[in-house]
Amino acid sequence: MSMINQLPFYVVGIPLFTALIIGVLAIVQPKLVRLTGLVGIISGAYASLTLFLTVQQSGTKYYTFGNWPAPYGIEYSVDTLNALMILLIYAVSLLAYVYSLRSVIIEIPSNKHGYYYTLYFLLITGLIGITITGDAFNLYVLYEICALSSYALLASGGKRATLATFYYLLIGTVGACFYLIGVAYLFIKTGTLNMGQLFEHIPSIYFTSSILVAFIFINVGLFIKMALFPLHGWLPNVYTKAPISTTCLLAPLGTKLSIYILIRFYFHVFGPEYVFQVLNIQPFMVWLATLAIIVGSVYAIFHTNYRSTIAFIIVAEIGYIIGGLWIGHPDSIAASIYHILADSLMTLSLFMIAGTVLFYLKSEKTSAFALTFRQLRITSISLVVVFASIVGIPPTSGFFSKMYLIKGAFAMGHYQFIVALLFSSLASLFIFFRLFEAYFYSKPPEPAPSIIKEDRLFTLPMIGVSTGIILLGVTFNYWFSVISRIIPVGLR
Amino acid sequence: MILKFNYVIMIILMMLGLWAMIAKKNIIKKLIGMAIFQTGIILFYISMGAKSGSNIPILDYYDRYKPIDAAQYANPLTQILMLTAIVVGVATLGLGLTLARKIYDDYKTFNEDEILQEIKNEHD
Amino acid sequence: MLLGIETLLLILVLILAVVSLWIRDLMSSVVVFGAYSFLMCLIWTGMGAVDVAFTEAAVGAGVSTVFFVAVLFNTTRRIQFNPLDLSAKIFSAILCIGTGYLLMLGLSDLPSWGDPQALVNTNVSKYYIESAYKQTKVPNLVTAVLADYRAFDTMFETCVVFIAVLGIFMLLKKDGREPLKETSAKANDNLIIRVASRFMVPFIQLFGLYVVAHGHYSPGGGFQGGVILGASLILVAMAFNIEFVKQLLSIKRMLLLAVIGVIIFAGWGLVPVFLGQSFLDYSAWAALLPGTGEIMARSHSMLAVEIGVAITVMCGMYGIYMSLVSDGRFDKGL
Repeated sequence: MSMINQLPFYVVGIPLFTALIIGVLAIVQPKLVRLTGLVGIISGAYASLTLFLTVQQSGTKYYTFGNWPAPYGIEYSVDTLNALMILLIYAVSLLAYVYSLRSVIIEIPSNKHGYYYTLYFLLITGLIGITITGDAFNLYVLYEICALSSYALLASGGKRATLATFYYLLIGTVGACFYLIGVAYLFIKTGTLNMGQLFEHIPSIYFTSSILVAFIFINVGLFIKMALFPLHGWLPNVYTKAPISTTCLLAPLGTKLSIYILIRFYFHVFGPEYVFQVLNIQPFMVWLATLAIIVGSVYAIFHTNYRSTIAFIIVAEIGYIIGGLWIGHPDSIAASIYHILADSLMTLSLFMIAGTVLFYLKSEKTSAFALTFRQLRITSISLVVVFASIVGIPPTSGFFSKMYLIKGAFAMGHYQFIVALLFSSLASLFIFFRLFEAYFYSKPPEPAPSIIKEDRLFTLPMIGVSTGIILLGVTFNYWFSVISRIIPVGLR
Repeated sequence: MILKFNYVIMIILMMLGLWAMIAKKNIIKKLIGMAIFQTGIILFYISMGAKSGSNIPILDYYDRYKPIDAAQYANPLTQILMLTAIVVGVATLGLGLTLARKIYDDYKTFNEDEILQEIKNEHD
Repeated sequence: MLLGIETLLLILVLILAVVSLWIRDLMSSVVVFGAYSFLMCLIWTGMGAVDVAFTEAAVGAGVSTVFFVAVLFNTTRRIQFNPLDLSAKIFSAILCIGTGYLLMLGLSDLPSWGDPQALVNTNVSKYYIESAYKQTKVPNLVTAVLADYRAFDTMFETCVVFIAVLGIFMLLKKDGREPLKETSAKANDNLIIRVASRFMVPFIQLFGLYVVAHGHYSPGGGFQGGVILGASLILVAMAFNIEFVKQLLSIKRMLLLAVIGVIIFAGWGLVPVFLGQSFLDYSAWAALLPGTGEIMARSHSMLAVEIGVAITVMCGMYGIYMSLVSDGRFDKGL
């Protein structure tokens, strides 16, 4: 087998072995931990880029573990959508890792760094694993890898984080168990766990009640994991209390990848025909997404603590993606997938900003942002860029996803969704001006505050992600052409 | 319906666990509820792979060299899946207990209401 | 068979679950939960799932109960009396009844229980039963599928144990800022327990090794054997004290061994990649192991990865217990 054919394994194997090597180094030679991590993540990113380009050229790549053919062994099947998501995971985790090199020193006691990074890389392994796998049960195992490592990483943030993580552990387990129940109902009717084979079997059982139950439970399980509106309770608590180093990795990817898995289940397991034609729940789901957007935006306005605000912005953004998906128009689905990319970068940027503000100004209140605009140059530039994208101002990526979402919603007649989108734009504009207003209307303290020089390990990833947000917007034609090839034929 | 009797029991078991996770005030009880929920699911998988009148999935010496009648042996696949689920369950339980222990160190109680009360007091 | 002992056991299990949630004392509740797990094993044995039952007996009824006790012993077993919060109870009851109703709804068109012709029993699993022995020479089909066909799952399962022990160790480990408490690290003064456990531990460990090594032919394998080995160390820690067992296996070495176990598994699977085969394709090992064909290479490789699993699980169970019982200080135990 050539190197190219091994690529689907490399993208998972590199972070796994990096984690294991770091696990040994943490005990034997802690000084080398950070360097090893950097090498691991860069080589993984390179592999994922190659994989993306290869898949673009030569179509879906298959990889069977242990050389057992598909339904008997575990199979990876990497199509363009997978490869795109893996590229996204590596891009985000590379930036988050560079950022964490400095922030971990501030947040985590120094004797735990090695263990922290071992779990950090196992978390990355899990995130990639759930994205790439073609086996419904393997997905569950890797979900648990993600979940367990994230519990440990989140809870290392002190007293309040422990309690929030405990509840997250309970509800996360319920989510995973619901997913497992759903898979059980599919498995008992088909006798297979391979997604490709499930897809072949499902048309023959369209109208049985067990597939409906399976659909509901898999959906609810994933809704819990992605914090869709009525099930979003755990998210704000966890993301506001946990260490920034962890949330920078987890907040952009954790929820969004669950949405991706949902998309994968809709397209490649249940099939678009079942989801959009046999089941008649489109209006209900769009209303649910609409509610999610409105509730998220309203809560975001009412909170004055910066991290609570952005946690609720995430809840609203999940509503965008789910809504766009369920509208079922090719434009809106493409926009949803594009928005997964855009929103991951935006969330990353938001939490990085939260980090620098917290580390340098020791406060998260809105009033602290007056000082942010005076003292932290790069942070405030990134803040402007990321809010431009959240509100939806043209050259940034947020504009294009919103435009196509509205286009799709208009074509399918879901006007309430458009109203909710515009309302949420206004809400984020309001939030931004509340931060900005603190700068204009508060008197500069005497003597004038000096500009703090932010650490290069903070500024570098922040500049990177801001560039990414703009670049993603400027090159949106390319991404839309890539994505629209992914959408199954039945939906075009 | 009588043949699905054990499925009904399992569903009751799962829901009992789920109910305990939501309604119980003591966090250790919540963890016990979680474990019951998980064993309910494991039972569900195991019983879907059971075959009446079948043997355990270890081949008899005499069966090894001739064609095998699959109905003679219990389904190995569901068992493997559940082995994994048990191990995942104990790992989750261990982490849950750790967090419970840390919560107890911080608040000196396992009771949810008292913890929330104390948090409220800290805010005031 | 269907309405005989299994139904009785199912009803008993249900009663024990209710009792375990109902008792107003945490320690008793945990003990009842242990009994619940144990009865569950019997049910699974009746359904032909011996490996699962073995694992549950070791993990669910054994080690989990010990973990619970380890936490409760140093905290409290008391349950405060709460004013009855009826609305919350009713809300959650409605939620659960709704979920349960949905699940019941799905039952209507499931194949009836124990039907050997159901698709779940004929599709993929039939292939395993018919050809696993031909392809791997391992008569225990569970081991064959676990360690070869679905070895990728199993590798991550080992990782889960490693994550748990590392996470628990990291969370409970003290920063070194707070002063160490004065502890009375004196040996357990109960002579009978010390002598009995000193007598028992070698046999338990021998049995653990047997379970690991004999997993190809009988129920057992890396997980079960690893848990038994870990339990023997836990027994030593209980009967003597933590200082004593730390001389046998220090905390640092425990962590190192836990990661080495995963490395054995993953590394064994990585070698075929260098030989130009796919990950975990054990047949490539035939080129490296003298005197083996592809089939025997698979069989031997399974033993190798089971050893890796056993090491990680042993260290995992031991490490989780040690962290929980001493609250991350590793100075005194039960």
